[in-house]
Amino acid sequence: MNPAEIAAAATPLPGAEVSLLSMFWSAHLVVKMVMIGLLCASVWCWAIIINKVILLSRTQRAMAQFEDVFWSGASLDELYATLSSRPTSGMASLFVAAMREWRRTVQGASSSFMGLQARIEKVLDVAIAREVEKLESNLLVLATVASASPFIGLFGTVWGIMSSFRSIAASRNTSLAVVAPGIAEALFATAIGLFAAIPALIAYNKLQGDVAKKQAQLEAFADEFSSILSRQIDQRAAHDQAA
Amino acid sequence: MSLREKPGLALSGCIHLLLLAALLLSFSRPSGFEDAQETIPVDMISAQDFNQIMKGEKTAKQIKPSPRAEKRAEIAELKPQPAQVDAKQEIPTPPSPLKRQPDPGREEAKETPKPPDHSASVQPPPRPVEEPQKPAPAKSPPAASQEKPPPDERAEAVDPKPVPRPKVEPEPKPDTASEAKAKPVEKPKPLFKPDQVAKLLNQEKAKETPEKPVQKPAARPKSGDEAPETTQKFDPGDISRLLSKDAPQHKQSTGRELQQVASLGSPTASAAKMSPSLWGMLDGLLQEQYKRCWNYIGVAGQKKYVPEIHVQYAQDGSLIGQPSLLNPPSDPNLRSLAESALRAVRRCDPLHIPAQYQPYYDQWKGRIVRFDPEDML
Repeated sequence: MNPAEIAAAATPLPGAEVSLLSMFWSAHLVVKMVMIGLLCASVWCWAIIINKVILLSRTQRAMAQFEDVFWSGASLDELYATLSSRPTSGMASLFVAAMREWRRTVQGASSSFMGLQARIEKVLDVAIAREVEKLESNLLVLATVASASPFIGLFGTVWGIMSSFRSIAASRNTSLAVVAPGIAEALFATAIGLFAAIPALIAYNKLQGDVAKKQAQLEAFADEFSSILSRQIDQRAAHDQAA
Repeated sequence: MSLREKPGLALSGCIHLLLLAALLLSFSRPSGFEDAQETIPVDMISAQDFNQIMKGEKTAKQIKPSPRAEKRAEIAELKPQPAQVDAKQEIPTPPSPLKRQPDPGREEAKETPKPPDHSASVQPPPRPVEEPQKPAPAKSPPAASQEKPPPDERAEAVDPKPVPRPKVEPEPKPDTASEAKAKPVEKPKPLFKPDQVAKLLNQEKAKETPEKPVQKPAARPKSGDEAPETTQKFDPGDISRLLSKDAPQHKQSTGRELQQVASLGSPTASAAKMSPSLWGMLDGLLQEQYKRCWNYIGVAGQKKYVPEIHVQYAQDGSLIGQPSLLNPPSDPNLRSLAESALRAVRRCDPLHIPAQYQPYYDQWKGRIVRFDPEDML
């Protein structure tokens, strides 16, 4: 038997010892829980990221579509009639909220235009806040995971190294082969922590920027729309006075 | 519906599972490090350093010469081994010597050979083992006996016996020669080491009273039976050994203890170093001699030039090879100075070097002599 064969026959044992699963199973309970928690955090983070990306792209598409329709010169009343029948998002919901307030005033018996401008602006602000809140929800989770999971992983590592040092002390054997598996499994916790934290951090920054951009677009639209409505209000008021 | 609205969780779960599976696959067989090549640090040492190292201790006590021993003799039990091969054929003889002791005397008288024969034939092997216990000088016979196990040994021990009995062993074989050789070695052995006493006594007894088997059951049967026994258990493998006319040799010398001698160093090695003052004295001495040999009359002024000449000396101070000028001058005017320096070296050929410097030859055997006109003239 040549030495190569002996080596090949001997390797499976240590190889099995250091595989990912056995590393996990041989870890201390605390380290195990840290690993599982971090893995869950990573899953959750990615779920949020995927959802947010889809939501943002959908919102973007809807806003572009709405703006096309809005600036095409079609009648706002017709637009309102089509939009109010179904749930809306983004600029459309702003438009629907403002139009609802407008129509309520115009069709109302009092038909006083005195406070209409202020009311419309309030309604638009509320609608913007609601929309932004919808876009922004859960982003804080990403921020939390990004900042906390390295520490959690580090905690697992420190715990694992601590326990492996304790077992060194107990067995009075300091050869690297004895120490290495414990330290490897401890470092595995930090690896998972970083694995969860890095995408979360990147995605948080990216999504936060996207949401801010959407918010700015919404505010711009709200200003434009409220200026259009205020022009209408003034015309109505002048018309009424003339009449 | 909710899946279409928010597919994130399912998607990320799937991705993580896939990732884990991939990791499990890729991590399942961690690649070990390649065996690091061991580097052996090598130091270069000069011949001079080597001499220093090899010097050893010149004042070490010389140990009384004794034959070289590479191995300690094993302590062998004196009990004879049970017969191995032929005993099976002989049904009744369990080779325990004690039982047979009363018999052999009778047997010898009768010369009924068989049973003792075999025990004898088989026993010799243990013998040589037990022999090495003797101190070194006595070793040669055992060696001989090892070469030709059965007959030789016994022949020695039982010498006188053959006389009464006509058929006696060894004549046909080369035994005789070896026997002859072995005997002289054994007999003259003058020192009676305590270990040997017992053996000698045994031999004596064997010689005097061949009938008393009590002491040496093994040696016993030898007397009469050797010849038949050898013929019987003729081993073809032994032919070469039987026929060889080589003198008995030591295969491996064994002794009672290992010989341990301090290394005395090689005679030419030098470890002593010259002290600075000795150096200075030698320098002055040589410079003085060269000064006497050097006559240079020239204008030593315009340029500072000191010829440096590499010289190699023999132990007695004579030159080895040609002295060589290390810094030939670029200025042709100075060439005469260099020439004169070379000449001076050649003229001073057998330098007088006092005997006190002999041990330091290694250090002054190659020197660079500087002929500084200002110093030496």
